[in-house]
Amino acid sequence: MSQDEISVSGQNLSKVFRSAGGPVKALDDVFIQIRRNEFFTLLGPSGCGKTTLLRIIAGFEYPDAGDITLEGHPIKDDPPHKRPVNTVFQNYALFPHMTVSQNIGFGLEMLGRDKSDISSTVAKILALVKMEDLAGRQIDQLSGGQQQRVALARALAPSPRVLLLDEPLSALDLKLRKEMQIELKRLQNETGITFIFVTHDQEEALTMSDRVAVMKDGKILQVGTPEEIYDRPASMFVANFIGECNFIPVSVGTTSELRQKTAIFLPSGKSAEIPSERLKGVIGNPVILLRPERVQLNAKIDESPISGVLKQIVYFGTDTQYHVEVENGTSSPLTLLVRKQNTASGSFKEFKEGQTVGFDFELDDLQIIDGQQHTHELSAA
Amino acid sequence: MLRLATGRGFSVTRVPGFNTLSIIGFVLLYAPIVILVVYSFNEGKNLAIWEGFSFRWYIEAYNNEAVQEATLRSIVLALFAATLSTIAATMAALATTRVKKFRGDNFIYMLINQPLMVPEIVTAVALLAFFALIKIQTGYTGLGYLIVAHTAFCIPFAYLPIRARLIGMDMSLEQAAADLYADNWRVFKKVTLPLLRPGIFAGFMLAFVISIDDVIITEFVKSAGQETLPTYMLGQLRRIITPEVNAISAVLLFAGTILVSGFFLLTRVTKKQHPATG
Amino acid sequence: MNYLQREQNKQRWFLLSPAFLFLIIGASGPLLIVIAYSFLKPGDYGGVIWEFSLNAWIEVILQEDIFDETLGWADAHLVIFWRSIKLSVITTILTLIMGVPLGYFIATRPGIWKEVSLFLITLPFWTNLLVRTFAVQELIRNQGVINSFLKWTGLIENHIQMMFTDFAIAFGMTYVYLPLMVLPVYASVARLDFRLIEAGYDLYANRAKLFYKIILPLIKPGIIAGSILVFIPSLGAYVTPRVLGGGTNLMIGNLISLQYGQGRNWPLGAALSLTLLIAVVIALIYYVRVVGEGESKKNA
Repeated sequence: MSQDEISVSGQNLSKVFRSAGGPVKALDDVFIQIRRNEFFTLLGPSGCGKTTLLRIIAGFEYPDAGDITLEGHPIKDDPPHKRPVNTVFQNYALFPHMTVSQNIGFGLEMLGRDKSDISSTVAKILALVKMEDLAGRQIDQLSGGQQQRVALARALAPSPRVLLLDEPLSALDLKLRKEMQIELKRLQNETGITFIFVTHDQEEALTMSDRVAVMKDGKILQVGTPEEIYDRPASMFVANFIGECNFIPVSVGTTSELRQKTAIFLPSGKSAEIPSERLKGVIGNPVILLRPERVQLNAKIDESPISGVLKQIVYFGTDTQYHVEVENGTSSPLTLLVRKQNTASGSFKEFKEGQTVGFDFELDDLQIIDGQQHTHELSAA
Repeated sequence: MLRLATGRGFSVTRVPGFNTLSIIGFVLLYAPIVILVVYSFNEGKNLAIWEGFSFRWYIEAYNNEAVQEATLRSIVLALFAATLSTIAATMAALATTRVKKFRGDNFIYMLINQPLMVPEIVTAVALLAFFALIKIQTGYTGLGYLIVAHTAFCIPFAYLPIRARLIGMDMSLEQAAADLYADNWRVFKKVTLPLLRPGIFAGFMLAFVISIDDVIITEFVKSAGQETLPTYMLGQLRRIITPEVNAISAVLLFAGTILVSGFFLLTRVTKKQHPATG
Repeated sequence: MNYLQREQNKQRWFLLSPAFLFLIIGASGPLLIVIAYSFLKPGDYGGVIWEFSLNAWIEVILQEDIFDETLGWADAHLVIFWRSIKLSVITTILTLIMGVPLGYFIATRPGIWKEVSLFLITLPFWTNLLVRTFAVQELIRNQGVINSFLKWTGLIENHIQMMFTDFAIAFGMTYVYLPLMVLPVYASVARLDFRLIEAGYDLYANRAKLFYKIILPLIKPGIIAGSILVFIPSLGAYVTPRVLGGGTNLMIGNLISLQYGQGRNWPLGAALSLTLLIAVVIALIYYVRVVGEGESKKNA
């Protein structure tokens, strides 16, 4: 990335909070680079540090160590009102003693714009969030969804360089939330402002973002596009946090043929050749990650690399989920998930519980990671 | 097996005798005051004998020059003290509420609450001694000493409702204002202050009442002839009790009741407003 | 320190300065003068002579016999101390008897009645102390309401002397400080989980027993808090004993005031003030312990 393309950049950011149970590392030596005009999401469970990072960018927290720049300018020592960054708060934080228009125009008023300028910008923004006829309302007369949009409008009105959104959709009901997700994506596209979005909802992150940073315990575990995060998770935690995943421990060796190619050996004994780059970073226990929808069930078990007993079939309407128990050489068998879309009626009746079935998958669809390095993440997940 | 459904005549909370005792208690609490007020309208001098309804004593008090002067002084003093203490208390509340612990915070809390903890007589004689020193040096005998003394003991009373209001305020509102380019002073002026207003009014009213009602400190700090209503009444003790004092007492009661009721309403209504901040 | 902390610090001390100023000049600073005065000699017409002396402190409890210059107990003072403590304890007990039922009653009122009765109990407290004391005086003086009523009904011939007695002072203080007991008790009862009481009915069918065994122990913190809140101002009372006790039944507050008036012994007044202050501080520390314990137990 060239320097011009970068919006927000943070190096070696650390923050420790004192709490009743001892000091808590909210951020642990974090490095992050967010591009201009990007919809960037910070994703992780509560306590992972995503909100702290956001607040440091906004100026409400001061990092114990590290630096932060906005479009090349260091902003660490700038108070919030000096940063061209605006925030949409989780509880909206709308000023109860002001009308909708007064709320939206507040930032512009503070910046010293004249009255006509303010009113035309407010009108424009109201149209942008589709709330034109609510201009004169008091805040307590608005519904939750309307308040959310006013909060958004208020933060967008001063045309900030970066818009920060702190779990803004968490208070909305499901249908409204999905509507707003699409709205937000549209707004980001239209305005071209860099959006930094914080959420613990992985589905939200996948649907809206250009890139996602998965965080845990104050560290960024992986940054990538939604496809990269989903198809090539770098660790067990990321794989588990985003959607469902199958973990199959394997061993690595060489094929018995003269060519001595690298291969992975499945619990069933069967093996498959893989390019050695796929094993990069894997030292200890190699583990295969497979998404349930990338696996097909096969009635003819001889053709499949793995086979097992179909223990349970769960019907989800749109899909069917199959729970298959597989021997993996230890006393406790592995339960693997397979998801299949019900493209035709009755297709879920294809297999029966108790049936022995085979697993089919493509080598491209699997991700190999080091199970040992992240075993603590598996137990936590 | 006892049935515990409410509305069935069985009240879980009833303790035998308490209801009766309490009603008696309320009556006894108000009886002396009510009697005082009733007899202030008594035509005759003798308290025990009712001679007819009359405003006589009120008129006498109203025309009494000493009473006029004392009343004026009480009001002026209370206005100064309430204003100054409310300003000081507002600033102090802003500095001490919703913040993490800071060095010297215990000292500040003790300082602010001192008038509530230290017996008034102790403060009164201390002020007497202290101001005597200053009087010797400067010869000043004006209202200033009383204003300073009243402001000081009014501060904790103004502080409490303001602080209570501030605690209930969501900090994210001020953060949002700062986020939207308002510097500290403008955050205060545009967001904190408007939302704090009911608390400030409540604090002012409480401080005003406390100042008007003060007896001990005023008695010891005042210079000769500087009477306020309570000290005037105290001075009348040595003479025959005239119902004029009753009349003044009734007026003080009435004024105090209005102010305190206003205070209660203010600190109550505010809970209902602005649900969106929750 | 980073910019946030520096800003905050500067701001904080600026904001605190007016309150600080007024309180130091108008409340705390003068206390230091008092401490100094207690170690000085009294001037002939009031005031002090700036010479060091421990006499004031000694005179708090001891006095010199004018004839043979031996030291004996300062009887007059000791009587006053005893009266102050006695009357404060009596007042505390009386307010307990009236206050616990009242606090309980208010806390168990339904709906808006709770706020209304709370207001009604607090209102007298915010009215003028002098007026309330006068009101009591009107009741108990020789031509007062009680005596006139009793004479009118023929129950007595001559008036009962109630004014200018210890009884009058205790009665007056009880009347004046009652709300101070009611409020903490109310707060304690309001925090009660009445489901515990319901469970209690399984064990004790008797209401009175239920109260003593279950409710009373649970509201003990409120009772203790209320007792201390009544005891402290009672100990330092001035107006009530002055109006109702006349010049004969003195409490500590009146004794202190005397030293600054006809007594002309400012150092002694200072020493007495500090003695009272120390007693109050001890009571306050105890109060903070009890209420603080209650608070932390609540949060645990």
